[in-house]
Amino acid sequence: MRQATSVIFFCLIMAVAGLAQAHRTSVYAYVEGGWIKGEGYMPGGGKVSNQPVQLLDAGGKVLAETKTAQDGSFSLPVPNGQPPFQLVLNAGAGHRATFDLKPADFGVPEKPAAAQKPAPAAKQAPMAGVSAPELCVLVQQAVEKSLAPMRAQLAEMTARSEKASLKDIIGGLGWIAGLLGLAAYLKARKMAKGAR
Amino acid sequence: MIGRILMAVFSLCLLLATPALAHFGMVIPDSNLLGRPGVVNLDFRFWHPMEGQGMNLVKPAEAGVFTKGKKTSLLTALKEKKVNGFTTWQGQYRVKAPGDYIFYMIPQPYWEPSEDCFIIHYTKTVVDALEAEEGWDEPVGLPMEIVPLTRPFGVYAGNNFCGQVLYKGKPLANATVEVEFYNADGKLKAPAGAYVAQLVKTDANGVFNWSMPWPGWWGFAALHTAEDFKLKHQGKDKDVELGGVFWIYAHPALSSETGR
Repeated sequence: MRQATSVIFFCLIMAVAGLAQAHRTSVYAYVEGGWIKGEGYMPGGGKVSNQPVQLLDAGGKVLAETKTAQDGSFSLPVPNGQPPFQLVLNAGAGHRATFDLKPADFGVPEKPAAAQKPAPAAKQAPMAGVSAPELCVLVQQAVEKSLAPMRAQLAEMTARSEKASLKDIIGGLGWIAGLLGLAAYLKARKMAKGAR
Repeated sequence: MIGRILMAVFSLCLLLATPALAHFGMVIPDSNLLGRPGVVNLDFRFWHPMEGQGMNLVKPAEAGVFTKGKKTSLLTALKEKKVNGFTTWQGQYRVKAPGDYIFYMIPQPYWEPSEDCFIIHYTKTVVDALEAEEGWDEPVGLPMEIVPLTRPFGVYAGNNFCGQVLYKGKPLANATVEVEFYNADGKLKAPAGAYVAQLVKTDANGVFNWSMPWPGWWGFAALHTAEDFKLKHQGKDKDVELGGVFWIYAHPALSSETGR
């Protein structure tokens, strides 16, 4: 009985393994809040669970390592050093998948313009534990955050100034009509006096 | 007098030209396979794709993307673009994660005097991102649509495209499906009218098959006159031709000589 069970188990494992063989594996990731978040999966459906993921620098040096969770997901802190990086998911026997993380994924321009003057912030030593690309993202977020209300205000001001100009025109017309009316009234009074 | 002659010639040309041309709603992405997260640029038009004859597409009633069971509208971000003097629309969608993205368009009814009816082409195409290869076979839920039974990407010229026509969500038997190649650069000339728009009919299950003979974008338009409504043109009730249109890209068949 026990033997039969193990045979069935063995067959089941083989079947599952065979199924996995027919699939390809794939990996992808994005950068969010100082973390590289990703997923290992199989095209057409299915997640790649409990498999090693490595983060390599441009020279192929391993910077960090982790494993995919049951749902295929994984995350790694953004490393020190300059992108590009490469993620390698190694799910064994011909199931190696890679994903390139480009400088743009970290908010770093592909080719930093040489003519660009360094921002004052860049002159300061980066904060301890914050990598350059991370800092770049943080600065971008901060600038965006502080700009948002200004943008809104600017848009509102533009809208209001357009409205105000219309009001001005109507107001101006009102003034003209009013003054003409007053002049006519005064003239009429003078004429009436003269007639008397 | 000259004006009248010109008008007559023009009308005659129109009359002669019309039977060969088939109308196609078009939703064409810059690529149907996305290897990395990025932007999909979309071209929305109403066109005679083989002959390259344009029509004006007024701003669609809806344009969007369906993925993982959810619809996202792209309508407000559409930008008008004139092509050969005709109105078309450009759309953009940023893909962030793996998945199959079904882009679709519901146009405003188009009045076609030569057919004395209105035309509404519910148009779709599928983009696969980062090898997800999942979700391409889901219906969007349009009143008239083609659901692909052939996975609609990673397809070679010469492969068969198999699709099922749904009308109000149910298979439509014996429906006419027009097939046309998107002759984008106008290089190809059909030898006769019958080659411009080819034709296949659905079986009892609403299924049709078609082998695409050469590489490029191929459009399939399943047609059916609306049974439960008409639209008014100059105060008179007119038929509405519903189309379920699907666009698929066929890659050049590989050559054993070049290995590509």
